[in-house]
Amino acid sequence: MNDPDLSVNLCGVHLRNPTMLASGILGLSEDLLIRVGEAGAGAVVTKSCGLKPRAGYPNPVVADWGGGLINAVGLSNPGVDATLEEVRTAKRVLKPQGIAVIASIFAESVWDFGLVAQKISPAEPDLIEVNISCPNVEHEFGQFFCASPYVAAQVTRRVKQSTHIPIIVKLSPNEANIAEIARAVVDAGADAISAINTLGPGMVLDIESRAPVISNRIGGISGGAIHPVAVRCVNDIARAVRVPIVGIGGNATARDAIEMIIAGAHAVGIGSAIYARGLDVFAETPRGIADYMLRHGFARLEDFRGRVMETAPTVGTVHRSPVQLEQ
Amino acid sequence: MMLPRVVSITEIILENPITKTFVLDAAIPHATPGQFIMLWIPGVDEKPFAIVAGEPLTITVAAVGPFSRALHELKVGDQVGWRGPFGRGFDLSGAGEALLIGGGYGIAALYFAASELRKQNGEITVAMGGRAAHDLLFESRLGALGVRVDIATEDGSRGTRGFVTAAAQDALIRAKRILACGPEAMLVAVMKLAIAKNILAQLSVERYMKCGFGICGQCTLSGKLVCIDGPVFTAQELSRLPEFGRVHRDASGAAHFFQGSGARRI
Repeated sequence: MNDPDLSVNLCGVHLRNPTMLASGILGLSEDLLIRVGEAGAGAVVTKSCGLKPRAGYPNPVVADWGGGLINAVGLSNPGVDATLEEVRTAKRVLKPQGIAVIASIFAESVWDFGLVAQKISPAEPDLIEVNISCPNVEHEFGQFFCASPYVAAQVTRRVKQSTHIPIIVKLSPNEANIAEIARAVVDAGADAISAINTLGPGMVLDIESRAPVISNRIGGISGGAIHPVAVRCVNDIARAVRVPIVGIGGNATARDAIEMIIAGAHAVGIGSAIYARGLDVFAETPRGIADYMLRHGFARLEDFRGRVMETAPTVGTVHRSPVQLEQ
Repeated sequence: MMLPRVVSITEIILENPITKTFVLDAAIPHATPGQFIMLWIPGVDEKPFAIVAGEPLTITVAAVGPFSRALHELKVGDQVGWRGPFGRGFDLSGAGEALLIGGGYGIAALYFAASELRKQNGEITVAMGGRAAHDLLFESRLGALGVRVDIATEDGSRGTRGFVTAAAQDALIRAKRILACGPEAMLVAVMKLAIAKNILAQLSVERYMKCGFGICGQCTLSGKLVCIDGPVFTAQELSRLPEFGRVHRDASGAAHFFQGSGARRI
């Protein structure tokens, strides 16, 4: 059998394999994006950029609490004008190697989302990821853009009107009905959805000083602990809409990535796992997926994408096996 | 799990008018010189500091910004948090006389290296520099280790007048390896010297840090992460990193050029 084909068509963009850098991790400079791409990722994603530079919150902004990470970096970024140059340079180096470059954007208002999208577009990122789901800045921005289907759709429409580049809208697991938000942003023109942003927010306390370990008091939870939540969200979205999904949340191994793809993901974002596994995770994950495909005779990712076995039992019935009574 | 551990300060030593050494009720037996910890003052901030001794855990801090000034306000018995050790420290496995070149509070990280090298009975010269005599620190402690100390000050108030590289001139003739820690302009000069004279050199570099363990990307140096790939790099490695001596980043990640005559030319 031929080598399995791990490539993905994500809104017309070719990825050599389904692994992507998750936004917020490492993507601060063109050099780091290039390093992650050359380590094996199918696509790299910048840190979310906004209209103006933001210093973010004081340290600690990230901590390892044992079951994963908690973070509230506070969307620190050098601003869209600097990120424009970062994307340009990264693309110049990575495009010839077949590695996609995705720009992540955020803003403090629906209107500004359009401005940032417009300003980043001249760098021609392959895709724009629209971060409407950072859980840590709600108190600053006065709203959580993916809290209501209406506002999420407004942001999506505004960004679509501001750029010719296909957009991925990144959703939060912290809303009761992620499928409903997914439907709203797809109806508003989203070309793809990524899910999930960090879970929570959560809180970790130092019991000696009784201080919150994260300077922002609360922070988003990532890492292995949230993977089952992410898989469920991806599957809920896959059942609700027909656009490609980037599955993010606790992916650390090929097994995690395969699970995401079975749940319905076209691509898989990897973030916190870099802490424990280093950048090798971008080479190991595609290898592991290929092994799995060989073992199952799958030639392409679509041969098992979204193929969750339907097992729902009839609610309330008890299955009894026939019992032979001795005469 | 690596949450900060909150412990008491057991001793505070005034080293010079703006620098204090803090001894914590903690130990990192496996720490290597050049590695750092993240030191946390709950409710204030958390910053990286070179380890001066692992047992008990000791750091030396100059009051130069809001965090270090807040730290200087603390008294024996007050609590701080720490996590670590982080980063790649100095490789002390080489042979031959070691020349340790330190500028400003950079001498603190080198003191740890000097004390470890002395345990191996290594020949050591320390060249230390500062703007003036009152910037110097650890002179008597280094003397107590039995290492040779050559001093230079920019105003000539102690030792040779000039930069620390002037104090290193004698030892450069004998040195088989160089360890350096200090301002980036000094490190650039040491890198050039080491490459020109073909001496193995390891230099400890500083960048603005956030996570400290290799995922936020804040401390990028031409794609190397100072927190896990460094903070100690060889002169050869640094000579291939265009941002070394030229570019540093602020808390937003925005890049800024180093100013002044010590910066590397574009």
